[in-house]
Amino acid sequence: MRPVFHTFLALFAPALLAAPLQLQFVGVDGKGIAATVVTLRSTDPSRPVAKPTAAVMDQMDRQFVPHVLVIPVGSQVIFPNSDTVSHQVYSFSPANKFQLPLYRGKPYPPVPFAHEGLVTLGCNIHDQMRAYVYVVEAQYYGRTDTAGKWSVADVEPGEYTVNIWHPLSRAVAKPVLEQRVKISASGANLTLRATAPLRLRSESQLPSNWDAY
Amino acid sequence: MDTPPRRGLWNLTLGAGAVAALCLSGIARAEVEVSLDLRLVSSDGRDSFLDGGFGKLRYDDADDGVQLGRARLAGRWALGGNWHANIDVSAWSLHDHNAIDVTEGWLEWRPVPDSAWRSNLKIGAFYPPISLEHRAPGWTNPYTISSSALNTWVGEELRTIGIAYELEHLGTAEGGRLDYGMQAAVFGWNDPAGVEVALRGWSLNDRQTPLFGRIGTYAFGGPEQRVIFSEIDNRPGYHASGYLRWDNKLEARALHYDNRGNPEAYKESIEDYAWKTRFDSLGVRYDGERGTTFIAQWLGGSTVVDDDPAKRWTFDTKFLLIAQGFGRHRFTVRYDDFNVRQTAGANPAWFSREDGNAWTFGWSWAVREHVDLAAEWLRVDSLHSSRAALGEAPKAIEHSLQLALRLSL
Repeated sequence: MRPVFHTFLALFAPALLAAPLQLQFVGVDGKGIAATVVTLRSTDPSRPVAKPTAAVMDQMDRQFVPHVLVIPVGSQVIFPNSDTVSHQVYSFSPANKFQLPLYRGKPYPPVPFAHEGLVTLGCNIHDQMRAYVYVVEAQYYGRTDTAGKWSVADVEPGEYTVNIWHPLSRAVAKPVLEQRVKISASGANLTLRATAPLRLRSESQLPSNWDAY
Repeated sequence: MDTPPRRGLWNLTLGAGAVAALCLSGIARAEVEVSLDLRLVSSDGRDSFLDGGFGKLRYDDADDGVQLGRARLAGRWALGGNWHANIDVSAWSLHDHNAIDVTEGWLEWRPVPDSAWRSNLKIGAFYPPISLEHRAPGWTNPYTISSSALNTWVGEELRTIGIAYELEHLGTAEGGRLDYGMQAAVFGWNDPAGVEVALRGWSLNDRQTPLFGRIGTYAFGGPEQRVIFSEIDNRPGYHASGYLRWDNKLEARALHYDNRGNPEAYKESIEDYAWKTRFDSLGVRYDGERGTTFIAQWLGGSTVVDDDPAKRWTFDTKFLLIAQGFGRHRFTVRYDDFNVRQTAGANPAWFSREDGNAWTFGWSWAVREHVDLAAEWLRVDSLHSSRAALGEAPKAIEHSLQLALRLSL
């Protein structure tokens, strides 16, 4: 009977217990803030976090694409080089110190990201190339859309800590907001407000053929 | 006394060439760039400085039509152990001293940083870090076909032929906002630097003097063409520089250059003195979030020759550039201001005083991969006292319109 019961739970429990979450992150002026990284971590430490994935950080027109990658702990990232010039990828962030010697064409095997935290990427040949990998240890994660909104269709009800980071905030490694929230069986529609103006950095657009080697 | 330094330069380049050849044979991975820049030119310029005149432009009124802007072949090799080799070879004109010649060639040690501090060491022949315009491969200006008077001069008369060490702090690689660095270089083979700006004045063009090549023609007789990269006094020069870069967006650079020329030293084989040239340069560059770029640079200094107080010139130039990108198109406007003063002078053939300014309007279009188009309208208004000695009016207003087709592999 037990295996059957477990199968039953596995099939129906998520549907029974999952709740929709809609979240909007707004500034002090009430306007939605796009492109923030949101994580939702259960206050119950026994709950499993999101499973590792395989992700891609490409290099095109002497820029990393995407500029920000959010992955669960334990994920593997492959670094193709779509440019005709060579790149030399490195990071000396404590969360993942690594380097890929000068290459183009065939990429190296995927790089594992085993620790939570912010990993800043650079290219030793093209200093203007910067990108961020947020390695998260959380049940749910994602990025806000242009209206500052992010939603999850099936959050397990419970108490969570919401962390919000912005790659253009002045201290990129620190969350711009950290807040406890409760999600009931009927779901939640949350508006989280920044406690202070974000004063985001703006990103420059450099010529794609820029080459300071 | 004359030949060893020259031989040294050859040896240095041959050494770099030998390393490059070894690499070409497949020991290390090679990266090759090939490009061709063809021009359609319409100009009302006075006789170009390349033809013995005091015209400010590369192409004068006798050069209308199709011209070769540049044919370029460059290679980079990863040698292992964080060493790289680079060489840049170009053809600028079918009438040059050497049809094909080297503009830069160097070995670089560039370890991958394991903290925010990074070192790099360059040995060979390369540009001092002055230009904020030349950010495309091959020391190419991506904004306008002709460079500012300031950076044109860098391409014409300056090359660091020696060794440079740079220490940088990459704050942005650890989540910060500020990168900064300092570089010190010791060099030789740049003793004639200053001669062109002193005698001819400033110019606005895109031709870079090749390492073994020549520039211009003497307006008042003498050897056919002038050698720029030569060691005359056996005294090394130096430059020291620093930069600050904020958020990958705002960059400021400063450099002090002194070739420590001994103005009494004379070299028979090239019929020139060591010009004692010193200058400072400052520059600021801003790249905005909507594809807007501002560049402002200033350079000012002096040069003395023949150890004669009368043969001392001061020179000064500045420019402001504004560029705006719209997708694959970029529009650029630049205003240049320049002057040269001889502090005292008796011989009119040597006496020179120049004042001028220029407006440049540029457009570039990245048509598709490997194909770019660029157009430029340039107006140079200048007064050069030495024009009178050639029977010309000292004041000249010159225009040129150029269309460039750039193909690259």
